Order: sequence, then structure tokens, then C-alpha cells
Amino acid sequence: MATLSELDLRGDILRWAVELPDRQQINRLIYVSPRFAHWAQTVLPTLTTRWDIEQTPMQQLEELGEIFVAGEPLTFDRQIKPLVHHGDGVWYLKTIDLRIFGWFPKKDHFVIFCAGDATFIKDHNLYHGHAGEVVYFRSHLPLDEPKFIEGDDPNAVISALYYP
Amino acid sequence: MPSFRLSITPSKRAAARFISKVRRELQKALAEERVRRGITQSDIAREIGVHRSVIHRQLLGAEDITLGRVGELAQALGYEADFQLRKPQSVPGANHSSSIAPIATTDSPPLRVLPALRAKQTA
Repeated sequence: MATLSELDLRGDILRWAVELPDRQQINRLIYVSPRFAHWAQTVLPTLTTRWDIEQTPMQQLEELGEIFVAGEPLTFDRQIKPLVHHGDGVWYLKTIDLRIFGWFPKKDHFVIFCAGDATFIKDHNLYHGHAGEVVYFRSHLPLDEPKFIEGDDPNAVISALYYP
Repeated sequence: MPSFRLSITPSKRAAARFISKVRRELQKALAEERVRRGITQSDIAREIGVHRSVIHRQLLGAEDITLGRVGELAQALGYEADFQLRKPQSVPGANHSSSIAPIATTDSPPLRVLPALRAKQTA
């Protein structure tokens, strides 16, 4: 069994080296699966937004990464749910065009297993399937127990989720 | 130790960062004014003269916000929108963003753009 850092060293997961703006510091961590890394290199650059906006899905993910790692509130509006619990400790982060599936092995540490176009996922009802893939990957990862934070309280998995 | 990075160009990163910064500043101002004065998106929409759904989409990021709309939103929230170009301060040990490509061959550091909302000074 291994810690997140040890798994990172081995390449079972990869730490997302988010490039933060000057004078921002790292307050949360994101790790990604090799599958997500491959998707981000091959599929993500080809995705276009389905909305009348300038930001591409790639830019949305970059923005989300910066906000998350910098420890900023994910949203200032409590009616918006940027982080959703699907079940069994599986969570997904949302941008306007993407759904990013993973879990929290410890607070403020998110492991991304997979991601995809939000409309495609909704239209093809893929939430449950992706959640199942997260559970499978997580269960086979030689990560120290407990492998994930149980429960559906977002405040238990991430600090400063909302603006106070 | 291998790590993961998004393959995003410096200019696209800068664009994403600025768009996010502006939108989040507006979201934050609304959150603060909601607590302070009970202002809602409907109030803002009524003052600007658009449907509430337009404000909702723009603050959510589902619709672009024009520069003029930034000014309108700021004013409706009781703020003034401010804009300045700033050269980043290079601090030893701090993040040095490689997303900022030098635009000159001199020793001058690259420009940074900062949006800000300032609360209006009441008389």
C-alpha cells in the first residue's frame, strides 16, 4: 500500500502541476489518472464550447485547476453547485462544458479519474457509468486505507467551498 | 517525478485567467451586497434593463460579459469598475508564471492586467 505521494512517484497517478499566478500559493492538490492525462492531451484540445462564450473547455479546466489549487472558493453563489456527490464517495467537479469525475482520498486532495463533455454525458446518461469507473479504479489503486472520505457533505472534502 | 500539465498556450492561459478574474469579482461583489443589502440578481437585472436569466448566465459563465456590461453590473452593485495594467512583481521564491511571455527584449518584466471593483465613495 502507498500514500498519494508514493503513488505519484510511481506514476500510478500524476500530480497536476497547476501553474498559479504570481503570489498565489498551493492550498489544495489535484492528482490525475493516466487515463485523464491522456484524454487531456488528446481529446480536450479538440473540444469546443456549446455556449456563446469565449472560453474553451480547455480554458475552463485551466481556470478550475487554478481556483482549486489556490484554495479559492469554488463559487460565490450558494445556488451554484460546482462540486456534486454522485454516491459512494465519488464526486464530480463542473465547468459550463465539462464534468470531471474523481474522489477525495483526504480533504482538499482530489484525484481525477476521468472527464468529458457535459452535454454528451447528460444526453447519454453516463454519470453512473463514469462513477462506476471511478470506484473500480479507486478500489484497485494500492492506496492506503481509508481510500476515500465517506459521506456527501462537500464541506468534509474541501475547505472554503463557498465564499464566507 | 513526473507531473501533469495542461497543454495550454500562455496567451490562452492569460485570457482564461482574466475572464475568470472579472467574473469572480462580480460574483463576489454580488455575494457581499446580498448579505449587506439583500440585493438579488433580479434587482440587478431590473436596474440594467435585462431579464434575470441574462445576469444569471453571465455570472455563471454561460454567456460572455462585454466590457460595457461589466461597467453596468458594477454600477448596479454599487461599485465602480476599475482597470489597470500592472507589471508583475518578481519575488524570490514566489511563483513565476511561465504563462507570461515577454513582449519586449528589454529587461522590463511583462505586463499584467488586473480588474478591480471599487466601492463607490458616498458623499
